[in-house]
Amino acid sequence: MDERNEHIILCNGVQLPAKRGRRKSIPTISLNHCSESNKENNVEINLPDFVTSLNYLPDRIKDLLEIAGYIYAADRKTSRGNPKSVEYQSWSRLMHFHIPVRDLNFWQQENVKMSLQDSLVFMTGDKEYQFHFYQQAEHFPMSLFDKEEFQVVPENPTSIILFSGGLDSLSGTIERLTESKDDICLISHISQQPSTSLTQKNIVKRLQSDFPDRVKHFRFSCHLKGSHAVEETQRTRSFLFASIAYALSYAYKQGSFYFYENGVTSLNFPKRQDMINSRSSRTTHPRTLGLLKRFYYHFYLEEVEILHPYLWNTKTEVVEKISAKGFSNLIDSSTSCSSTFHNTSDYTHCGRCSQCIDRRFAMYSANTEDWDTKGIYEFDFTTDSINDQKTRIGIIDYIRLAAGFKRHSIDSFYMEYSEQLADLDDFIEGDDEIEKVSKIYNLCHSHGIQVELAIKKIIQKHFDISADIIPNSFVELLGKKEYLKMPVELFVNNICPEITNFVRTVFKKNKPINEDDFNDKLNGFFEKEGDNYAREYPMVRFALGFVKPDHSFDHYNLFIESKYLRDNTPPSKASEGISADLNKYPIDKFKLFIVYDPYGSISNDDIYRKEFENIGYCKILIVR
Amino acid sequence: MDFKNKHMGHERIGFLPTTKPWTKVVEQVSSFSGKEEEISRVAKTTLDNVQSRFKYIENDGGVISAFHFLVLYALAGRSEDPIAFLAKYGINLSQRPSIIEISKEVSKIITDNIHSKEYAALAKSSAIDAISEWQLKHSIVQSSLFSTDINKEQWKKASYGSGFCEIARLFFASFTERYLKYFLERAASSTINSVYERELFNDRLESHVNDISRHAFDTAKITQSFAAGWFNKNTKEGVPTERMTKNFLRKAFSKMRSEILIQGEVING
Repeated sequence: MDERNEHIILCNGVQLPAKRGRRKSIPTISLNHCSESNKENNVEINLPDFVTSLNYLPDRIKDLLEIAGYIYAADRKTSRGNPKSVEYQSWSRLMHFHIPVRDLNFWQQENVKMSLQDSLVFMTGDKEYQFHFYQQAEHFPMSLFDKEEFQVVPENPTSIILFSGGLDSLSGTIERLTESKDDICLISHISQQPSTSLTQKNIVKRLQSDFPDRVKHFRFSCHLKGSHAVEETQRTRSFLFASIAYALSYAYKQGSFYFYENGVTSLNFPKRQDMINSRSSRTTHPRTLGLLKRFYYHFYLEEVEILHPYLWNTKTEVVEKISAKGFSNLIDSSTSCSSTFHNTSDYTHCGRCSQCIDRRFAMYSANTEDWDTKGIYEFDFTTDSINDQKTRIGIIDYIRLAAGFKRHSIDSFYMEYSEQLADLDDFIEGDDEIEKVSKIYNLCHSHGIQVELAIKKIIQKHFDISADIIPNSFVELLGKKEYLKMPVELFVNNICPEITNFVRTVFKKNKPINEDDFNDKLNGFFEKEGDNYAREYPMVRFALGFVKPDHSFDHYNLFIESKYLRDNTPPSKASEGISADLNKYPIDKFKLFIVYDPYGSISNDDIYRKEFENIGYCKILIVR
Repeated sequence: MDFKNKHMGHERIGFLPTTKPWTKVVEQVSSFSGKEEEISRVAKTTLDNVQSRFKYIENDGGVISAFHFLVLYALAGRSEDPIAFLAKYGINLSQRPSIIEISKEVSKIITDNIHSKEYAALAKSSAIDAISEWQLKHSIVQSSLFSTDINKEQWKKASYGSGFCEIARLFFASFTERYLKYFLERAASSTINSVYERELFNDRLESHVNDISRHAFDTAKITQSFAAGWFNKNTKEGVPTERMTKNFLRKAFSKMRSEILIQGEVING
């Protein structure tokens, strides 16, 4: 099968030499941004303004910015196939770039081209990038001050931060402003979306007001001109962004720049089998940043630090940072939504895309949902009916992934994600493989717990037990579709006193022989509660095997586990069992733990219960 | 503005085609209620739709490389020094290779031989699955994957026909499962309405493919299986040629498909 998606991209008037020839079947795109006739320009790369703002950039870096601009433009002008294709063979493109440059000696080096290709292939999922560079006919200074002697000389240490206007870059900027004395250079890419630019400007204005004389905002413009994009996945945007930041870090002699994005989004493990090959984006994946770092090293044989401070933080933790610094009032000014193109309303967030979904869960988990005001969302899945396919996919897949993270032990996580861990191994810090895997596991596991907490909060906050369940609601989406159930917690609250009475009566004279005996007796009690009761059922997959609860009520999505503290058995034995059960059973099952403690081993019932009820979707019933 | 491809963001979500054969798949997935026979039916319908693609899969450079890696891995068990044996073929492992280490080498081998990145990605994942599951099952110290301590005696087992049969079965089971999920998860996520049922769907699918693979690879009569026979015959003189490997791939995929189609026919009556 050869669905080759191959393109030749001729930049700024380059003609292919006759001797090379050209396969007539390969589509060719011409990209021009500084042709003599303005009418021929179909890409705007606002290099002159950017350079003017910095006074001077060397030719090699000017070339870099143009190359990044062309790559980005070509990315948007070459389709990656139809999302409704049977197979996504067209997703991976072969791109042949022909670009005139100022510093030909540098760009013609094989190691430079290979390093550039490696970075782009991983970040985009494309098949191949080939570069052919030519000497630019002539080039002029971008301004009167475009000379080395007019280079910027920063007065203070400066942090260069990529700034999108989203929560993560906002949090990072606040952190640098409050935890250092650095001047801050924010760098934003201006696309053609006015709303994004406006968001950035508004936030910057407020930061400049709160931190006078410390915040500068550089904006670099790069967009198509005179034609629409045919492809908006924009996987090369990361390269453009990073190159702009590198240019700025060079100009400011800093040797580093900051990418702020939470670790779970950076790693972006595919939620489904068809999301391979960078259809789950790798914008700030550690490997992407590591490969870019290697590429930028070639420029002056100097280490460039691409700092990723939030790699080990979840989105929830990033939001908590904003809150902890006292800037919760800026939350609803930030924009996470990726659907701004289609937004014809006054809302800044569609509420349906993966970024909006992630943001809402994080807000609930961080207890900041009230700062993330409903007024900014066109649609709120926590309360509205989820009727469209794409939103359902987004929410279900999001919860499944998080639930999986929470269920996994470190060993089962290692098995499940060994391929993704292999991609990361050479690009994250750690003394050995165990340490690196542990860090990644802890990040993902924390995310799973936080999402579960968020779900619990959403249910508690928005589920009215006196009203009918809204069809297609978030609550209904968690359970089985063919039942409308009484709230499980109400059921549990009703039967707990009866369980207590039953146990006290049955074991008044003779204690249970063992836990099995205890469960046998409970079996008799539960059977009368309804025909959706089962003993030691269902089998639930966990790691490489199966586990099963002592008792279950299918109708209520309820698992029940018994723990029997015999004489001299410390409470920690039961605690270990409960922790293990919380880890292995599905996120959407409510778990009731009946802890029979006839000898009073547990000294403080409230503390014991709260330790678990605060972190899991569960209830602890202590019976004596 | 009229954008043809409006998929900015962290995920490019795909759907199944809206043609009749695929609409049928979507209908079957959306009516999933947890029964195993429903999975048999939907697996068959899906395979019916993609039968013609297998000739490309069987001849794909990435798939062949991934499987070739497994053959070399198994053959290495015959050597006094399996690590040195693999190094001769460009596979560089430490004396106690971890799954991550092996994954990196699989990736390297495949990268140089990619035709289709889609098939290569599926094959890479499947090869890693096969080795990691086989190693987990056969390592002496099973306390943790980090301390997998496979010794030469265990590795030697991979070099027997029966050992290779198991590794091959794991590979083809994983590939088939992943390939089916490649289509079915698009439908599942959009039509199965709850998280619980979505999980159940995947569980049933994995279990079904696993059972299918055991039939296809005759694991009840493992030493007489076609895989064991092929391995014993074609590795007498050394490493099998690409032609031999392609023949095996064709046969193995065909057996997997046949089993799925047969099971699906039985269910449909």
